[in-house]
Amino acid sequence: MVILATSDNEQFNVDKEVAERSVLIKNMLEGENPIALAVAFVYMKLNGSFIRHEDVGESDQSIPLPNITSPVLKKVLEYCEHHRGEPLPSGDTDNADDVRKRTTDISEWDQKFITVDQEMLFEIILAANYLDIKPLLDVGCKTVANMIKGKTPEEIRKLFNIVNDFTPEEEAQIKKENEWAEDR
Amino acid sequence: MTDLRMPPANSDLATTWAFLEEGVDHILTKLHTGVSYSKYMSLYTVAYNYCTSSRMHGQPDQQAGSGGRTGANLMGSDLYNNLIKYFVEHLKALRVNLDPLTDEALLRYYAQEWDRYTTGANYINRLFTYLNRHWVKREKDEGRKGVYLVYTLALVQWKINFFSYIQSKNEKLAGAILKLIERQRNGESVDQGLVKKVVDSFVSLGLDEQDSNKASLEVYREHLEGPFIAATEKYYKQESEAFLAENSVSEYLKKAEERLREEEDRVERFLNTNTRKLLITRCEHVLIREHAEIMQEEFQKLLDYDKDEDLQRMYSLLARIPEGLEPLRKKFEEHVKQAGLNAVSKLTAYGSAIDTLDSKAYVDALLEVHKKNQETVNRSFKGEAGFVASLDKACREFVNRNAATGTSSTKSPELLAKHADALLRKTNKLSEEGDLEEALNQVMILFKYIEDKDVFQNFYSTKLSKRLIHGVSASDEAESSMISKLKEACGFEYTNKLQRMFTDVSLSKDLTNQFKERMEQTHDASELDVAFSIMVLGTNFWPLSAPTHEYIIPREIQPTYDRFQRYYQAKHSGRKLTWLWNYSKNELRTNYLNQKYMLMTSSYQMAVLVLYNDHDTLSFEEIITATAISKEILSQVLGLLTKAKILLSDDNEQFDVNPNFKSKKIRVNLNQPIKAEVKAESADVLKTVDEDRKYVIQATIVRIMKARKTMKNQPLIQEVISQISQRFTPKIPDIKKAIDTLLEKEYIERVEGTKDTFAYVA
Amino acid sequence: MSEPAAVGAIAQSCTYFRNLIHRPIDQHIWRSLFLEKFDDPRPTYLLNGMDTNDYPWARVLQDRIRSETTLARRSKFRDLSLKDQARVLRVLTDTIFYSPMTSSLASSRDLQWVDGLVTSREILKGFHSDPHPSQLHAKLHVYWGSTTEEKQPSVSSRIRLASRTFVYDLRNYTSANLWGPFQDSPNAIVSWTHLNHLINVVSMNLEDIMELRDELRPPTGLSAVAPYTAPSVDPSSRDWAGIEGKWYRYRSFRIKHLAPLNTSILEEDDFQEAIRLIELDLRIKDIQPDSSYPTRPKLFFEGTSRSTQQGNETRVQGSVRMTSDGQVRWQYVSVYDGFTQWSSEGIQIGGVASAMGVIGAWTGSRHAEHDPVGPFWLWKVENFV
Repeated sequence: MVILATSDNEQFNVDKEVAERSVLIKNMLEGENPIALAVAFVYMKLNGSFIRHEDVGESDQSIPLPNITSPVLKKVLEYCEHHRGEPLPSGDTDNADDVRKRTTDISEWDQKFITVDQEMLFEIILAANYLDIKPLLDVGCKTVANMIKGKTPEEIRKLFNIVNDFTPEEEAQIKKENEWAEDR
Repeated sequence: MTDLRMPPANSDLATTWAFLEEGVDHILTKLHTGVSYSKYMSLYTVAYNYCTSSRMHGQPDQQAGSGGRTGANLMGSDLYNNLIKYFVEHLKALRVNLDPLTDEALLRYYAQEWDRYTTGANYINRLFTYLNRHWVKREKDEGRKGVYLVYTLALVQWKINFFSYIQSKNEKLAGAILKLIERQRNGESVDQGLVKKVVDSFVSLGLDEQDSNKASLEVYREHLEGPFIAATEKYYKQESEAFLAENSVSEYLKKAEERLREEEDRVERFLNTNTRKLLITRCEHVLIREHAEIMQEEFQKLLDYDKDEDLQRMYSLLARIPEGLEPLRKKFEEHVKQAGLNAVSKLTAYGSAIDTLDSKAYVDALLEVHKKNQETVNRSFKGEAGFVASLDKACREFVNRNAATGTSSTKSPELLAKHADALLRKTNKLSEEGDLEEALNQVMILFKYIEDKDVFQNFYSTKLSKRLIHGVSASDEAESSMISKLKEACGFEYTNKLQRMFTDVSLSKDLTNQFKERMEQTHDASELDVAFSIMVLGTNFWPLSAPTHEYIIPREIQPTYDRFQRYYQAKHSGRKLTWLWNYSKNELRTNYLNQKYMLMTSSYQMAVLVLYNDHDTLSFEEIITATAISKEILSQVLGLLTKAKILLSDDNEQFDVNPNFKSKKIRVNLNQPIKAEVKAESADVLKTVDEDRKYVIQATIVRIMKARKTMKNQPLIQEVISQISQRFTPKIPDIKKAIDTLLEKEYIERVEGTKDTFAYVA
Repeated sequence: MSEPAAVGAIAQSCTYFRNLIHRPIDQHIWRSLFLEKFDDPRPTYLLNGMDTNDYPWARVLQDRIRSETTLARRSKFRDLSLKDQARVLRVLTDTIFYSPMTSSLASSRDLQWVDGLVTSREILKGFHSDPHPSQLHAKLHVYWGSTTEEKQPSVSSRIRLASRTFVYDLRNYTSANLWGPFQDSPNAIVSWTHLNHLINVVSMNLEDIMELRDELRPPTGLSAVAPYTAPSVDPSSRDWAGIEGKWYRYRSFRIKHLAPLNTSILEEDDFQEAIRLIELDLRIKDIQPDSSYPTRPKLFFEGTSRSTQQGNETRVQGSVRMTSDGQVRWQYVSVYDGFTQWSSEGIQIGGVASAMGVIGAWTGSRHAEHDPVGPFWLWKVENFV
């Protein structure tokens, strides 16, 4: 079990396996073992005494996640719980298989999971980016992309509350710029 | 642990870096005090926040320049540059302790700092994952050179600011490694783990610009492998020269072998495996190639004194360098050939005339040489194909051409066939069956080397026919075992005749029995007072010739003769029987003497003796008239009979029967070969061989031309030689003669308008 | 609508996104969009001696998307304006020409994209009945090979007649077109319509030989025109065209030389056309720089040529160089008894060192009045069968 602490000071007790869907947390916990043990050993030899508990064997210490609020973490953990045990994507982002996987459709469960308001959607994307959970990041981005697909610029502005700041001259120019993509 | 307060999300570079630098420094210098979760997380978060800040806040980008572009820039270059600055300063500080250190102390310091630095860098790399994943990746995607993942960056800085610094002082680091290795070569024990660790760092510092996951051996090659190889060469050049100046070649072989083993071991222990090939090749060059001539010169001596172990060692060493064995193979071939020639010369030197050379002694001498050297090849040269070829070449040479053969290529096959004959006769002393089999195998060893296999074939079949006719074969199994060995070596065609001879003999046994049974059914016992057995032999398969002169069949056997003639014609009408009186033998019982003797005779002797059933004395002329035996043979026949004192004569004109004949044995063997026949035998065989060869060459040409339709002269001759050389080596004039004959007989014709192209005439 | 199109829409929403997308400080966005849909062109670009950092990701991707949208606008390809047709054909043939090294159609997204459009949009439908097809249309057809429609006996016999008439007509070989498959121009500009006829003649002759083993049929199809698909080629060696090694060559010729040529002769059943298989073994003799193509010097080769039926050996010598329109041009002569006998002019079909090989025409080397003429097809093999 690991304890995750959010910026609004809530604590979550989570299975290590679930928490490690986050590559950030996985890296940190992996780093701990060899280093903490070796260090503890060296320290004992140097000082002839045992080191204080909180310095090394921190397993019951909480892991602070200063960039994440508790509602968002709750949502993210729901995703991690559901996908526990699945293989993590390889570190190599140029891998052709990963590229293909990213372009495939979102699974049914993920689709339901990501059906949230726009603000939460963006928070989840940011959290996935911060915690380094690539599949979740992909689900989020894909969802945003799907929202944009097939929409006119005007519709996009409306969807995301974007203000049209073009001058009329610019508008004409822009039309030309994007001619290649017009299917009419 | 002194924790700075974590700066807020939108802090500027100075605040951000102050916080990060403290953490980075902590990890690199005080990792042993541990890193708490909160410290780790705050360091990661601060780096993350900084990297994501531009997009989050839409700050104008300084790099993008004019036009108010706020492109998709990523923050990161500042952090990256600060990291570089930090690493540089950190490493410069490490150099302070370096200068007084040399050799092993230097290696210890280097290895200790390397461990600490790389462990820390690994940790820092994780804290900057976000920088790696985005800013660094993107710079690389844009093809920017000299941008690395943080861990790699740390190594690059180590290489520039620490490694190269030490190496710039006379290659002090590599020098320290080489010194330790030299001490080990001199027999001291050194800390191998230490050497390995430093060597491994050379490998780690080789960074592939294209692919950071791939280690490049560039640094290792340039800074360590090169100097290491050079030092090794120098070391062994000196050592081997000094050693050979004071020790024998045999001792040197041991030394070189040991040194090579040591170096292989060294590569394994603490060098990169890629060095192995180069190192061993160079060692082989210095330790073997450079002294190859001395070794090769010593080779003859080792052979002469049967120094098996040294030979083995020399073989293994020279086998490692290109072309190293070729001189040995040549010398070995010459050595074997000389040994063979000497062995035969020794035989002939003991006075025995070549004609009476004992075939067993000859064969044994040849086999002895072969066996000894075959063993050398197997034991010392690991049965290597090149030496096997040398052995074969040498054996082929001395088996076919030596003091006993002179210039005749037929002598060896003749002697070998004679030897085989002696082995296969009843009189042979080899009691155990296995011994005989082994002796026949030995015959086959030499047979393999015989060039004129057709000569052997003819002698062998002549001898075989004798053994069969006279029933003196040691055993049927041994005979057929030998035939199958020959068949295996030369094919079905080669042994076809031998096989048929064998079959004829066994069919004849049946025929004799059937004939006897039949006669007993149709005739009264009183008519069958002459016991009779017959061998009917196929004309084409037996090397036997019919008598050239008349022979009057004695009336005593005339009825038997007639009966068999009738019986056989009835059974196989159309077959012609030619009676080979010159090969027949008879047994006569005496009843004119007190003691009853059994006389074993030839047909000629029998014909003469039965005349004395009616006469006491006969003149030479009278006997000729009565028997029709030629004068020449008759005088020999009578000579033998008078010598045995069956007949008596004072003047060789008138021959009386001896009424007082006496012999110690009841069975008196009068049937001894006639001299003229013995001498003629060899000549006959050789004449047959010549005839056969003409026929074989012609048949081969026809076969080739039938397949190819047209062919030029030169390729045709080549093809004939290659097809026939299994049996004998055809002479080119013989082939040309055969072509002429075939042109004459119109089997082939010259192609119009060409000088030397022939076509097959269908 | 494809995803790049969505990006186009976002770019039109406000200045921030417009700048992000159309005025990027680096290639990141366009490269990612490109690689989502197509093969990475950089390895082939590198081999072509170009700097991959300059690869025009946005332009190439936009051109390809534009082709899709253009095609989607009309139900039939031939209803498009000639200008639009040409633009689409150029994009398709370029995509094939620069497609990355590949082993099969299935493993190349570029080729699959081309395959999908040509099939679904019926771009080659009715090509055979067009009396004056455009060069680009012919080029696509040369790359593609014959369509199912063209394999129907009634259609194919008409094509065969037309192609024979063209290929064996001596009037189509003059000094103006360099006695080969070129347009009448001093700069050796490839005539794809001519090449198309040459291929038709040889491939239909080969189809007549039912029992021919697969190894003796030259490779065809999109995956055979991708660059560096020929065997025994090292793209990074000096032999950039993959000349050195073993080649097969089919050569067709008319047995009767009747001039002037008219259609009725060719319609006769006894029109005699023969096809011969020849083995060549080539090696490079000399290399000379080509100022227009710094990374593609002129390669001069020599070798032996041996008929598989008769076994007569002759010497060949020739050269490989780039044409002004970026194609790989092969020229060579066969030398018999010290005299040049036949001379051949061919074009490598598809990218550099493509598996499909070189197609062209051979004539008497002195181009005398009654010299024979015929098509040939040369392709590289690992080993002779």
